[in-house]
Amino acid sequence: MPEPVISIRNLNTAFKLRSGWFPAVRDVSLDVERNETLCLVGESGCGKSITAMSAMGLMRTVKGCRVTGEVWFEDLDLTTLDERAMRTIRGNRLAMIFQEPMTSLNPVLPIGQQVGEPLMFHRGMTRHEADEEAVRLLELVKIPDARRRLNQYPHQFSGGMRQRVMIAMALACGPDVLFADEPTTALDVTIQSQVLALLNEIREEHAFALVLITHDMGVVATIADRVAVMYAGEIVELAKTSDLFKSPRHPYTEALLRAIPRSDQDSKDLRAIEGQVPPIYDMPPACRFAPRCHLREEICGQDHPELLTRRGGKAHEARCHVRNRISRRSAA
Amino acid sequence: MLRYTLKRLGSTLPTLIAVLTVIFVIIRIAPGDPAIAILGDNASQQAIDALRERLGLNEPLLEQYWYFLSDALTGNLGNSLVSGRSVLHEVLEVLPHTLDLTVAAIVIGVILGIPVGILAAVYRNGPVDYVARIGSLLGLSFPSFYTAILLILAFAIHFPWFPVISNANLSDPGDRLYNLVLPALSLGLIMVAYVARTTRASMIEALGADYIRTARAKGAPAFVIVARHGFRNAIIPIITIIGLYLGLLIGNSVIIEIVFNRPGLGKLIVGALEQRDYTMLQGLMVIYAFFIVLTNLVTDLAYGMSDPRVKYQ
Repeated sequence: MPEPVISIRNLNTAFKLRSGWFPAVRDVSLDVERNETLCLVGESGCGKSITAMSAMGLMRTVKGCRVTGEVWFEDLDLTTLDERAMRTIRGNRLAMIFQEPMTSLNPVLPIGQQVGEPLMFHRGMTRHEADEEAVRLLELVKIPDARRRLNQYPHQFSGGMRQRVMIAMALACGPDVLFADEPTTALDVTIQSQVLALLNEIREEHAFALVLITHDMGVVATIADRVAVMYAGEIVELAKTSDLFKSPRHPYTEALLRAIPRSDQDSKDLRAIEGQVPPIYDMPPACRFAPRCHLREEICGQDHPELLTRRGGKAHEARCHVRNRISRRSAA
Repeated sequence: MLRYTLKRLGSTLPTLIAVLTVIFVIIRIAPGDPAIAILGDNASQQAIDALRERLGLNEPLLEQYWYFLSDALTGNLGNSLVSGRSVLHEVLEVLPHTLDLTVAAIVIGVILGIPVGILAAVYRNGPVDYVARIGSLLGLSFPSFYTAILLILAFAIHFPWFPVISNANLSDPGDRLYNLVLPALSLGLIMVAYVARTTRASMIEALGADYIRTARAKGAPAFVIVARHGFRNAIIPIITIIGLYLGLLIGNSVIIEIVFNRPGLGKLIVGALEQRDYTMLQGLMVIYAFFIVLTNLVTDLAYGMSDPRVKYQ
């Protein structure tokens, strides 16, 4: 396996509530390679965004939030850097785009200035140089008539165009890792596929690592090389996309896949997952999915399962007592 | 921006005419005959009739309205019934004093209020914030005349640094400023409180916005985040409160002018009330209305400058 460009080790992000600290992200470890698209999937509130924000060091200034673990990037553990040092990496080597391009862009600044800003912070460019580069970036994300639009404001752009602006801004300094937090969720379906295609194209061209956060399995199927499925703050399954869709190992992943509507199937087969995601202050003590799981056994309520791969098998990890036991037995 | 400015300017005249109409109506529907009010109950019928004729009160209402409007808009506000001098002339004579006071109060409010508000928002729930919040609450709770009296007691009587009676020689800038300190502070401190509170609330909202997260994700330094991304967005409510309070300031300056025995519109209005100087009162109402309309115009133009979205709505 080639050297990962970013390596998240045992990341825990906890929030302080009235009755103590509660982990929103628990023990997440992820390696992302250069030129790879890794999708983080899961329901709302499962910790996908928090994971990415923690890796970017954006959670450290949040009051009542504690991040522990390691984030390795080029022989540097980012969690040990102070804010000043982290700032030189953020927006430069690591970049991020967000779900809602309307509110994520500053409404009172022309988009040219917003796209050029990282270049002024990290490359020491003047406003004029940054403007010139911004034109090139806007052209890169296929915004027509880029030079004229440089002085326009976000409200003069459509949703899809705004997300392109966000992408251009994130790419400004040529990052090594791009976190995209549900970049297409707020967009129309036709625009969604355009933006995804653009992201994919640019990723292939510029060979950075793309960590795409989504709850849409359709998006995963289109774009991901590997998938990490998160549930209640933990990674429950980690596999190559084709393996995951062909033979999901964790019951939660199975349930997620069953919840995708398909035109060639009767809608009666469309099954929602029973029950609800447990609240952060009331997590099941052992397997977090156990209360909603149809495979549940006695051990699932007693012991917290590890994220394990099948012995001798492909790199396909799952956090399930039942499935890991069965696959081990069959492998033995 | 040019189109917006022209459009906004265009709507100023109708507003002004509407306000003038209200003033005209109020004066007409107020009970009592102005002629009797001016001459007193013992005046002869002859004298009253003569005055009514002179004031134009015998003309048809519509004609009176037309004269009133055209006179007001061309700056002819009539002559004071007491001094016989032109109302506009008397107003212009004392206007610099009132403008000094109002402008100084706003400058104090902006220069102190905005930084305090920003600091309180950035260090929310910290010591700076608590001091700012308690201080501005105090500032809002004290009526301006009370602050004025306290200031006189402290800095004009106990420490005789500034004059008790502030009657500046307008042609001497030093004297003008020296006489302005205490009155401007008594008005300005309230302004500081208003501006600081609004700035704090508005900055807290702006700093919680998604685009601040974007700016941090870009690696923006703290100062850029607060000033460029935060404050630029927080400025609209601050302009609003300054614009609103400018109207209030003109009213409040009446009290301050009395306390400091300072010439100005306020003293003029109180004098006119005491002496039943109808034309003077009517003229002052027109002047005040004019200033309020002007303030709103400036406020709207400031919106247009600070928020690109305003122009297109």
